[in-house]
Amino acid sequence: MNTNDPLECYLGRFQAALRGMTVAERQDIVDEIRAHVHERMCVSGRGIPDLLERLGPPEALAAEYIHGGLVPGQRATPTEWAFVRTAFAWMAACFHLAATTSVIVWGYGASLVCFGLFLLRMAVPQLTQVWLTSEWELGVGPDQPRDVQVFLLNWLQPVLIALAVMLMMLTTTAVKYLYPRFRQHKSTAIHFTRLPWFTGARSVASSLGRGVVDAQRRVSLRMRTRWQNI
Amino acid sequence: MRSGEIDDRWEAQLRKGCLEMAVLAILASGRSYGLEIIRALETHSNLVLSEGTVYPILNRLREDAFVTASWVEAENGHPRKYYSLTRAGYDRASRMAEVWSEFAAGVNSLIQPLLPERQEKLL
Repeated sequence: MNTNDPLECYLGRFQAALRGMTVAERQDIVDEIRAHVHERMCVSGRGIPDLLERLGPPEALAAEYIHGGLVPGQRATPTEWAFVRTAFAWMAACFHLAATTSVIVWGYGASLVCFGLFLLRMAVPQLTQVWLTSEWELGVGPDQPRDVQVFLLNWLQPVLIALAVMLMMLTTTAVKYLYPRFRQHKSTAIHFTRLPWFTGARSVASSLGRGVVDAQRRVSLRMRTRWQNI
Repeated sequence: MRSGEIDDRWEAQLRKGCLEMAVLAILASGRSYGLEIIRALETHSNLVLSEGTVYPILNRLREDAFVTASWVEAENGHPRKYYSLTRAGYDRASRMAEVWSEFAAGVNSLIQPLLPERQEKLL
C-alpha cells in the first residue's frame, strides 16, 4: 500500500474503524467504497480529496456502518425470529462443514484407493488376480486351480485410473461448491451472534460456564478433603 | 445548542429516515449500483447530504435480506456491486410508501397555516 496515496490512507483508516465485522465483510465494504471513488473520479473528473470529503470522515463512515440505524437500539431488539435466523445460520454452517469434510474424506479417499489398486495391479498382476471356481469358490493370488474363471483382467487398469480421476474431479467440484457456502453461512452466523441480540444470551452462557467450572472445583476439593481424612 | 444546529440535526434525521425508502423505491425499478443510486437520488430529490450515507444503508438492507448484492465487472473496467430488491424488500418498500403517503398527508394538513402562501393570505 502506498501510504502517500490519500485514497489508500482513507481506506486504511476506514477499514481499521470497521470493528466487529469479519475480514471478508470489511474487505467487501472497502472494495465497494474504493470502486465508488474510482468511478466517480473518472466520471466527474473531480480530485480524490474532494471525493473523499463528500464521503465524510472515515471514522464517521465506519460508524454509519456499525451504528447507523436511525432509531438507537432498533436492531438490538431480541426477537424469536432473530434467534431462529441465528440458529439456522449455525446449523447451515455446521451442515456445510460436515458435508465438505465428508466429501473430502470419502471422495479423495475413494480416488486414492482406486489409484492404489491401479498401481498394485500394475506392479503385481499375478498376485492380484481374482478367480472363481466351478463350485463358486472365490480366490485371490497366483495359485489358482484348473478350470477357473479369472476376473479382473487387463481392462481393470484403465477403468481404475478413469475412476480415480473422475472421483478426484467430482470431489474437487463438490468442495468448490460446498466450501464457499460454509464460509458464507459461518460469516452470517458469526455476524448474527455478535449483534447485541445475543448480549444477554452470551452473558447467560458465560455465567453457566463459570458455574460449571466452580461446581467442578468444589467437587474435586470435597473429594480431596475426604481422601485426606481417610 | 443553537437553533440552527437543531434545525440541521432535525433535517439530517428527516433525510436519513427517508433515504432507506428512497433507495428501495429506486431499486424497485430494477437492479442498480451505489453510484447510480446516488445519482438517481441527486436527480430526483435532495436527500443525499453525504455520499457516505447511502452505502451503509445498502449494507443494512442486504443484511436484513431486503436486497441482494453481487459484484459485476463493468465494461469500462470498474467493478460494480449491483443491488437487487428481494420479495421481502419489495413488500417493505410498498409498506413504507403507504405509511409515508398517509403520514405526509396528515402532516401537510397540519402545517398549512405555517406555509408562506397561507400566511400572506392571513396577513
